[in-house]
Amino acid sequence: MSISKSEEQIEMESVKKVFPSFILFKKTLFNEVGTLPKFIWAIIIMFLLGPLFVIISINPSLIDYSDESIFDTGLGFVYLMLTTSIVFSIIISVSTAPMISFEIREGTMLMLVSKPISRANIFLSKFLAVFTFGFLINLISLSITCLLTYARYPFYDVLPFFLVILVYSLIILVFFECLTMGLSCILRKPRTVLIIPVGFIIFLFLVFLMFKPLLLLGGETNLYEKYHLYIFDLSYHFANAYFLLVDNLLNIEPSLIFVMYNVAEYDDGFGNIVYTNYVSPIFSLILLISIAVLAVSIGYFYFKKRDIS
Amino acid sequence: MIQKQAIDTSNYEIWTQELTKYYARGENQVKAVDSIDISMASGIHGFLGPNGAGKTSTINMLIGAISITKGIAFVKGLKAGSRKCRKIIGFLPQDPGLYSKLTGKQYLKFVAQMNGVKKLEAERRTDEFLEKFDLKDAENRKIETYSGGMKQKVAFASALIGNAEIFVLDEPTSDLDPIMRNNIIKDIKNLARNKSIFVSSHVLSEVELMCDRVTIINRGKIITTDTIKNIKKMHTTAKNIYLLDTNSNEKILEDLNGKDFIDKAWIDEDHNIINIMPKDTEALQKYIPEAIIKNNLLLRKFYQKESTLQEIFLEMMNEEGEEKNVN
Repeated sequence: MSISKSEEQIEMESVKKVFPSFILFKKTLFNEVGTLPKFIWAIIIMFLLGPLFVIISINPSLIDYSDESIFDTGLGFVYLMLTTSIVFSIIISVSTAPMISFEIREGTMLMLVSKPISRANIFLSKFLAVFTFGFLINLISLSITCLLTYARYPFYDVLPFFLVILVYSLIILVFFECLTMGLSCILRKPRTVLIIPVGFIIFLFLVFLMFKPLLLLGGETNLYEKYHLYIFDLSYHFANAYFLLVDNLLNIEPSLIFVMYNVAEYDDGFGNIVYTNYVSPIFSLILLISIAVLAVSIGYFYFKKRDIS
Repeated sequence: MIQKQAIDTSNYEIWTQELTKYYARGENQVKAVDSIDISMASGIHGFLGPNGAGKTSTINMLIGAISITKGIAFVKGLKAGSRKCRKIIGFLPQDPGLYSKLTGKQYLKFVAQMNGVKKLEAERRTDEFLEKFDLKDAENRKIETYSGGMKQKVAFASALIGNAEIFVLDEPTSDLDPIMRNNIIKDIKNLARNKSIFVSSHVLSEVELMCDRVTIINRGKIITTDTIKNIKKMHTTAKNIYLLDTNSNEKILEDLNGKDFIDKAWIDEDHNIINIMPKDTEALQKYIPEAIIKNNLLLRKFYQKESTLQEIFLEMMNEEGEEKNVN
């Protein structure tokens, strides 16, 4: 007996197994974090703030636009300092932060936990939806930036740079998503969950950076080195992890960005930049991963046991 | 001590033993549910109590939203809160949280699929429920634009749309206008033809209309659990009040007050009817016809007063309050 294609499709649909986790993932991605206006705005902000930062912050005399130094001092700086580290992590935090606590407050979580889906799967579905959202924003905005850059400077191989930033953005994404997701499971008020990571990002990448020079006064006996304060300086570890990628994939000379975050310093004698090597980049990466895992684990176990009403 | 092995819990729709819930610890500890036993057979079982009695906490333990501090609970023989158990429960929360950015259609389809209903079937059921609850015209509007009544309809439809074998409804008619309330009650009664329903409410007139059996809870403890008929019967027998209405109530009241088989007799001014509390019921029943004939009166009504669930409930709550004050 021959059946038409649509009937065949209908038959296939009816025997497909239903995965509530996937349904929840789809709904979270398309109807919550990844709603089209939010998605487009996030890409536009990511794309525009980079060049804007170049225009207002970088001393044009430092950049020789005729050669590839634009990538080392300009584009790389912008993406690490502002777009990837700050804007991207703020976008992710804002998208992730209210997820669990907001749903508990609004009563939608009560509906979810009453369905035949485990809390682990609820947590995982939401985590993956935010991860996908963040990954897509970065992939699209980075692709546009790199394509435009390649069109302007065709002599430069953009691909390694693209890969470095993409991998680095995943580190940033996972770190801040774990942190905000963990907080979202523990704290009751969505606003508090939002303020903590955003405040943390602003402190880490802006405020602390402004006051850090005070710790560095005194040359070789500066407080930052004397008391090993770099261990607690997460912005240093982020830059050090970035260095790991740059060193392995781009193989470029140390640039201003690394000086700002104390991964490198000016050599007194000749004004060259040399690496500080306080801790190995692998150590920094492991430290960041450990903090992220700890935050998300505490959040997850709290969520698993939490009374939802 | 809990003796689970002696009971076949699958014989009951809901079965709990010494079910207890504490919130917080130490000095701030609140005993929301205090060692309650429920044995619910099929049909509609009402769960009554004033605000803060522990109804919602009990329900939330049954669906696994909050942890059980002590005791055990089973729904159709499945451990309360387990994934299998949640699959067979259609749950309507007291304040249903709806994803306001979804349309009514998207929401119902989402909930159906979350209950394990396959895509095409979920779409079919969504259409069916939108039609049934008169939401078809608003199906593509976001829920945030719906009125309170429409939201309640969506929430109620979402509780029914899965493959539930038993429904747990927490205050299903709160915030509804009388027409909607009446419709929901009808729906619940229709649903009860082939499914069991555990419904909490403090609107007692509705409970009386819907339920076969009720459990009354206050301050986390069960006060009584029985059929409405039995509760009324017991209460009526215990109170033993007779109502008498004639064309001259004042005259016969004077007559009654002097009799030794009468404990108390008075006129209920709201209804202009005589309330009689007899010491000897048989003597009263013999005397009334004689008195009517002797005084040449017209007998309009003479019957034993049946308390409404509302009266019984209020009285139980008062007794509880008095007991607490004594203690």
